[in-house]
Amino acid sequence: MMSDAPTLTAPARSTHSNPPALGRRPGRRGIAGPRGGRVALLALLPVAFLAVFGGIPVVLSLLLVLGHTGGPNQAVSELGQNEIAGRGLGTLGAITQVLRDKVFQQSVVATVVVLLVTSMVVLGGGLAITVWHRLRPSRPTALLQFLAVIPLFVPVVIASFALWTFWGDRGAADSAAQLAGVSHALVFSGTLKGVVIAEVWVSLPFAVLLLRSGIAAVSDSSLDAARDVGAGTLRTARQIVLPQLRRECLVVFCFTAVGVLGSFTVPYIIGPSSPLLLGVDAATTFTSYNEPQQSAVIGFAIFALAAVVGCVYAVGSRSRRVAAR
Amino acid sequence: MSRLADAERSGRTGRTGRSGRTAPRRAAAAVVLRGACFVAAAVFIVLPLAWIVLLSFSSGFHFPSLVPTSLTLAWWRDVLSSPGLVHSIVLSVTIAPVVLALSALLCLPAAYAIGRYDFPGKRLVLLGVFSLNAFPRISLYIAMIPMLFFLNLMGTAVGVVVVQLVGTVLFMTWIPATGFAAVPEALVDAARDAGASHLQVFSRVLLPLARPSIVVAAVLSFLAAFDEAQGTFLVGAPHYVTMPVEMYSLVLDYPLGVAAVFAVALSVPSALLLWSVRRVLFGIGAGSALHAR
Amino acid sequence: MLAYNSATVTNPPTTLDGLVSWIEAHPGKFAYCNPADGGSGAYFVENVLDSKMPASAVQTLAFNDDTALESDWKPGMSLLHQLNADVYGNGTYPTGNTQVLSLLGSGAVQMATVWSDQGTQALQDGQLPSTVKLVDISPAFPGSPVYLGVPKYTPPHQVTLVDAFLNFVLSVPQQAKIVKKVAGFPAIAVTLMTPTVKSEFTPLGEAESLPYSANIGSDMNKAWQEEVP
Repeated sequence: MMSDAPTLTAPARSTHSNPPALGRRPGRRGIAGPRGGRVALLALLPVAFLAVFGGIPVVLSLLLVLGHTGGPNQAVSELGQNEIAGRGLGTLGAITQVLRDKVFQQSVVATVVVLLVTSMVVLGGGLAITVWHRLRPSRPTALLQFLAVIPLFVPVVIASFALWTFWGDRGAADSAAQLAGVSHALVFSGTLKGVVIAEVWVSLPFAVLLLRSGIAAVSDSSLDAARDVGAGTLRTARQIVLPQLRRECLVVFCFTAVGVLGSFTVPYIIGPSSPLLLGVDAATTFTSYNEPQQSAVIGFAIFALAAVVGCVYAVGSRSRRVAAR
Repeated sequence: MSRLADAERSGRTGRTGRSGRTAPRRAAAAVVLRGACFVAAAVFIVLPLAWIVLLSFSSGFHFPSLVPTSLTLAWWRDVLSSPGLVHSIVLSVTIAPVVLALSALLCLPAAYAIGRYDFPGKRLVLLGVFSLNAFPRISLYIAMIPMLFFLNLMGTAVGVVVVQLVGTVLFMTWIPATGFAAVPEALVDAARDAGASHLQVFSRVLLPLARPSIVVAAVLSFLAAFDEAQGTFLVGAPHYVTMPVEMYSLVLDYPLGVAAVFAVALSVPSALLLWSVRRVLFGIGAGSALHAR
Repeated sequence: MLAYNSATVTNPPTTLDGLVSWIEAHPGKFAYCNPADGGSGAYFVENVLDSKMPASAVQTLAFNDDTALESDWKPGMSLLHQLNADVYGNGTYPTGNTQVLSLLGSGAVQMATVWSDQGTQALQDGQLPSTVKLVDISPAFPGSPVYLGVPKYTPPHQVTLVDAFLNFVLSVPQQAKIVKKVAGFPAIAVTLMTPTVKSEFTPLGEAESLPYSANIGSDMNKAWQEEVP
């Protein structure tokens, strides 16, 4: 029992970087007593809100996918067209129809390719920026870290617009290229490359923030030791810093991937007419083709892909837990 | 960080194992390469933003010139004199703080509970919140429409608030939860032993220590609400048109100059926010939360 | 309408076939927007589709959701698919009417389909250079209808008010205002209109292309996305 007032320095255990696991832990207050029950109720507030405004719509959407066009889905079904209704438990007709759709198949391929490239570029770029600053801190590197976070504060529709004009036909990049004699070399708006550029631009801040918080846990002494041994920057980065950042890298990769999966604004404004990204396909199926059921199917397809990314995360973080730090 | 600089300085002179001649050349090449990477990265990130600021003051470009034919305030005058556009700015600035306040009210107690207590179903709660966030936002909003019709919330301000609120729950629950969880049990015990009541523990120990994560969560939630366009468009149009929704139609239906002005205007609150929280944003990871005093 | 830059296009096409030949002869110089994003692209697509369909089918699809007739779109869609390589940017379709206008204004393309009112406004504002001209071709572009809908469950005493309003909108002077102020087509038969309006529209001929019904239009958007880009 401590008799003096608690001081606010030198915490009893490490608290920086990795968010502590939020699952059950020994030594945490359990639900013993009435207090635990009341506290649990607090947690129900946002859950109830999400259940009503998020959960129920998702369930109704699933019902619509399975062909239940009546009841709560009736209004939507009357307005929509090309619906495939089912009896009893439902039908997989809508799902098979969408899966066979050529545009949908192209969208899946395009989305997966874009998300893989984006996640890798974001991870690579984020690592480069944060590790560089940690190993060779200087004003420019600090500035670069700050700049890398700016896109977080730019609304995504502005970002898409800015990038679309900048990298577009007769935009700034194209003009610069023209002046340099390589006309049309830097026109990326309206292509998947442009979508990757924009998604990278938009996802970089989160990666930098997360990696930065993770890299702070790398001890100065280990870096000093490396330097004393004569290891260069790259070597130190590869052998000392990177292994300690595995968890953050996994989080960055998976968050970026899920972000690209559900993204609509960026590919809508910058992307090509074909292939579409899944988010755009889902939205246009609803608004332009007036097919709410098929749009819901595409939505669940995106969710399924996000679940795959979630599995990747789960598998990746489990194997880390085995190796003690 | 000064220790590192010292080490670096000493390391440079003490480096062994490489021939004296190639070391400076390598170092010079490395510096040039690093400089080029820095410039490339900075240009990649910042130039598009600088470009639209320029666009908002330009009357036009004669391809391939990078200099506008003339500078003008005409676009700004157009936008600021258009009542609809100004109204959407006012609406955005009014609704986002309301959403933030409601989100804090709704989620912070839960964050506290999740961060510091175990209770049955806790894993389920977290899984549920995460999964809903993984569900594509646009499909979720489309799915919400029948529900909002049923509750008579379509086309109302409450409906817009609800839609924006949904996007903030994950930030407001998860991030402060990790902040609360990071407070060492020993401090809480010590405070309690010193005679502090639950409320005092919360306000004097937990809240201040978790404050950086709450600030980060608040910033992210505000931005999420402020920038929300798709759901707000589906629910609020045509009566409640916020800035980002207006931005969509501007990008698609108006000349570049108008859209550029609006883009700059929309970014101003975000930029102010960034500037005011830069220290917290960059301090949270380095454990400076505890050294901030 | 068809907008073209008279500085570079000295002999603009006057028929749809002529337009198609022009596009094929000048690759990359013509643009139309994604029909799902802008009506100016949609009515171009409709015009091409209609030109390869029997007239009766076109008539039916204007008022009925006869999806079986959508198979008549095949020849039109395959022509549009062929034109894919010849339109702007090797098959780049701008996201909406305004993007097409800005392409025309910047000189990236020399010809495009634009809305009559939007094009006129852009010429007045200076977004389009004064060398850009707007013309009609034959067969005329269908354009896009504006609907006034009355809910089925409107109580009877309100129905009389609604009827009065609708009759007012459909009256000749109001329809003439629509023609004058928004360069629109009258919703009533041209033969009932004032002499000035009649003279403006008769050169285009009666029974010009009608736009598709709403659901058919949605199906057209989808079919375009499937078969053209």
